[in-house]
Amino acid sequence: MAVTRRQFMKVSAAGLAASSVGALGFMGAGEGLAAGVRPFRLEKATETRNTCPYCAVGCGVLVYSSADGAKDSKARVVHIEGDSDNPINRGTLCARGAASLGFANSVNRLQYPVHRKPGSDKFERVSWEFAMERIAKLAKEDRDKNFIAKNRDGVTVNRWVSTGFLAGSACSNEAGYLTYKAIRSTGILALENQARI
Amino acid sequence: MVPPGSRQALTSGSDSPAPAFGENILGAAAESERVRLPDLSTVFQIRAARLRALAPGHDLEGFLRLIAALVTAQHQALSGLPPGSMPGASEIGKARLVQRAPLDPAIWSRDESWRVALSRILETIDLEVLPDSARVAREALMQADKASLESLADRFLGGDVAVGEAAQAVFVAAALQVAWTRMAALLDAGDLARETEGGECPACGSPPVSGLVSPGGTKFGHRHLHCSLCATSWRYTRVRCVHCGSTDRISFRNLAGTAYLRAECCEACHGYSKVFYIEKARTLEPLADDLASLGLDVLVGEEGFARVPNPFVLGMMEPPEK
Repeated sequence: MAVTRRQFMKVSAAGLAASSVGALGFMGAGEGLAAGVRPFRLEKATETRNTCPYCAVGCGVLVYSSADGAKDSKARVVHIEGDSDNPINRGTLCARGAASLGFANSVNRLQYPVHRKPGSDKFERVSWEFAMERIAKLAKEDRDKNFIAKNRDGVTVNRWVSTGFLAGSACSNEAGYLTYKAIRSTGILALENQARI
Repeated sequence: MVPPGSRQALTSGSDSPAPAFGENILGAAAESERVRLPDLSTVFQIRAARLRALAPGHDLEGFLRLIAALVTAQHQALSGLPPGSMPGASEIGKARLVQRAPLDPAIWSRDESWRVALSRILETIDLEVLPDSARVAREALMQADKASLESLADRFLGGDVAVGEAAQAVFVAAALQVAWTRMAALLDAGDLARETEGGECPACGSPPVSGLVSPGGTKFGHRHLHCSLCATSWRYTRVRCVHCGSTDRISFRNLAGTAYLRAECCEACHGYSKVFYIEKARTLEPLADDLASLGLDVLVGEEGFARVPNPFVLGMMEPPEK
């Protein structure tokens, strides 16, 4: 079996003794090294590329998450920094983007749909199915009532002007295209992007 | 009417002229170099100094001292190496056409200067740090004839060294490093520019030994991979597997309490490579610190990940289970 400088090798204490380290006369060095490193724990973290959620610049961020130290061994975001390989921000972030770790881990963050019933003064937690259905039903009702198929001169216009739509800022071109196609197909004209806020 | 000189300035300016002293570069694109060629006057000296600084008290102290002596001998061999041959413009053009690195050992046949480097390394290396088996390997190489040396070099570069030759291969690797580092230093970085970045050296096509991330913030924070053969470094996207190019399912492992070094592990190909952070430790040297951190390799290997070996730690290590 051959030894190669290009292929994958797993390093181990026994392997080091059989490698050029051992062949040069340091046979026991691998065991010593392994014993010396054994007391150390291996920490694991992930880095994930993402887009900053705040504004329309769309800065690239690297999100560091780790399950170390968490009681339920669920990974948490531990650090967020600018992505140096992103051509837009080249590793930099504005003050808000740099502080987005607090945003990700905020206790005030909305994590599930809530609903305030007509006449009620407080929000109650509801299921996603309920939220989706409620929105769809109200939208349908409003569209049926206010849809304008033809204008005064009898020209087909298919407008739905009583409802507007606000899309997110950190969307890619593709997501923006799909948003436009999906929302315009309903007749909505007041289609806006959070990018401009 | 264009004023004299303006037309020339418009047509033949450099793409990214270096700023003159005091020149304001605000607003200009702050980009670190895509390819950094080795500096012959310092590359081996810095490496040897770093190895000597790392050795005292290290579990691999004897091995690190041996490699430090070897690298010192590399530096001495480099000065006064006989003139060698270099790929010319047509060879570089041809290499680009077939999408290979111009100094790739598979397409560029080496000249004889590497054997001069080898004999100088064997002569000048400090014998006091060599254990008996290393001395035996040295003697064997000094006795070896031209043909067997060339064939050993071919086997090292092609990745087919027999287990019994592991000790000799270290000296051969050192000599080939000297020859290839000199050739790389004489290349033009502009000739190596590629449209797509790869995990292999743009100068010689060899695998990298480790990656260094420069300080972040306003100072780029880019990762440069460092060639295991010719000491060239090139920019490579962070959080991207060096071996398979995947950006999916990358995780990092580090020894608890050390921030300057992490192993970038890819769940897709089960390979990993080391990433050093200059911000955390300023004196890092890619090859020296890779050798000094073999302990991390042992732990990461136990988790099931494999790496491309350092040319000085070539050997029968466990191949990863498929």
